Amino acid sequence: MRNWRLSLIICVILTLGVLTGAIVSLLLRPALPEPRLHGTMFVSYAVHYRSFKEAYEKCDLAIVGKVLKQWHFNFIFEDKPANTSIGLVIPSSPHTYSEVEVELIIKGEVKSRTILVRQDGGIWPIIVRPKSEKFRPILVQCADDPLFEIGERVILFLFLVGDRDEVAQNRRERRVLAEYETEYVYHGVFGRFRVEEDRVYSACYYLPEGRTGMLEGTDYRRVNGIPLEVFIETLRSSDE
Amino acid sequence: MKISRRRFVYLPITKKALITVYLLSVLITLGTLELIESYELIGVKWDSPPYPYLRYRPSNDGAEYDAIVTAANEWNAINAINPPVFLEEYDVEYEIETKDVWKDYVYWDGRATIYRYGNFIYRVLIEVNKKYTSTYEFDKIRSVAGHEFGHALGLDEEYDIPCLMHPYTYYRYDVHGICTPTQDEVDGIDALYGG
Repeated sequence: MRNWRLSLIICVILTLGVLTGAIVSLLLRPALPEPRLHGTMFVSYAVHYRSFKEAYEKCDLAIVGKVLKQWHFNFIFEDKPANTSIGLVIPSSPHTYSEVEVELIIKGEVKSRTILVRQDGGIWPIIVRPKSEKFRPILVQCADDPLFEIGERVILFLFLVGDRDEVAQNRRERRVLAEYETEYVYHGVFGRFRVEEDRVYSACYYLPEGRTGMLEGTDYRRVNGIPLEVFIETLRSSDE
Repeated sequence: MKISRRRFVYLPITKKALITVYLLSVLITLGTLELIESYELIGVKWDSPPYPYLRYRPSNDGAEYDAIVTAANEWNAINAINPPVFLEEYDVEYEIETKDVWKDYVYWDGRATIYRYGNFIYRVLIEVNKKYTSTYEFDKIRSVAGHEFGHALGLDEEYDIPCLMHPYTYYRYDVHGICTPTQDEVDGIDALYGG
């Protein structure tokens, strides 16, 4: 009789366990996104840094700046299918130029008060002819490196683009590039910090949770509200 | 038939065993429902149609072309439940475009742009950056191409364990020599398409 009761109790407890697990699973499952077209870029890193000082040492220019303006363009691949029909998307890749006002130079030198910084992502798609609501231009961003917001205050570790690797494909883009002598890029989360109320935050603190794993094992997690002066001092100390 | 409370009071070992059984069953259920796993999902997958067949158009040449085709075939060969099947396609109708690019100043050797509509992937552009891959050995390019095809299927970056979906090429290939889907990716595909 006792064995029978014990079996019954174990069965009840197992059932309770399964039910608890199922409920926890349902509660923790992420909500489904709204049904709309959007795009995200995911990259495989050929370059990464173990510390922000290492990233700083490698860059050509380090600045504190503010994002003033943006232009979005698409690079259209030349070998697009000749018989692309109406409504089909032409293979293309969006990029964005941001005009950044230089507030302070931490390393390197610039020729003008504003510089041009290029980012992956932007407004997409370029299509032959819009057929439906589904094909309205959308914003495409890197999962780990979202586009700057206008007015955003940043610290950037920049690399000078010498021989521009792509010729601007349209007159508007050529006009934007002609306004600036130089163009810069940065190495994603490794070269971008946000400044809020004179405090510095690494990507660990401005990216959504779950997207900061690439910085695990580095010292970027330390950059969490460090006063701007202290952060600059830390960087400059590595120059010595 | 009333269960005496006294028995539990005087049988502490049984009580502990029961608590252990309870906790184990919770853990097993969580594990079965894929909350305890290492693979990460983007949160979208391919709808049917075009799934299970995904047509890709390689606009690559040389080692990059071979790596793209080999990587696609390696994903086709995984032992998963109802995995999507990549088909090489040169007609205008395709779901995945693969391109060679040369980008000097970027930090990435491969990139997948996932266009999604609601919960479903609508189109994918895979780019292989020859600036880096031109100096890579073939298996390392396979590792990059395979990683991007993983994104094309709906898998996200995985930082915690050595696997194909780890975002650092150095860690993934140079340290661990991974250039084909691992069991973790197979589990991810099962979770996405197996049910």
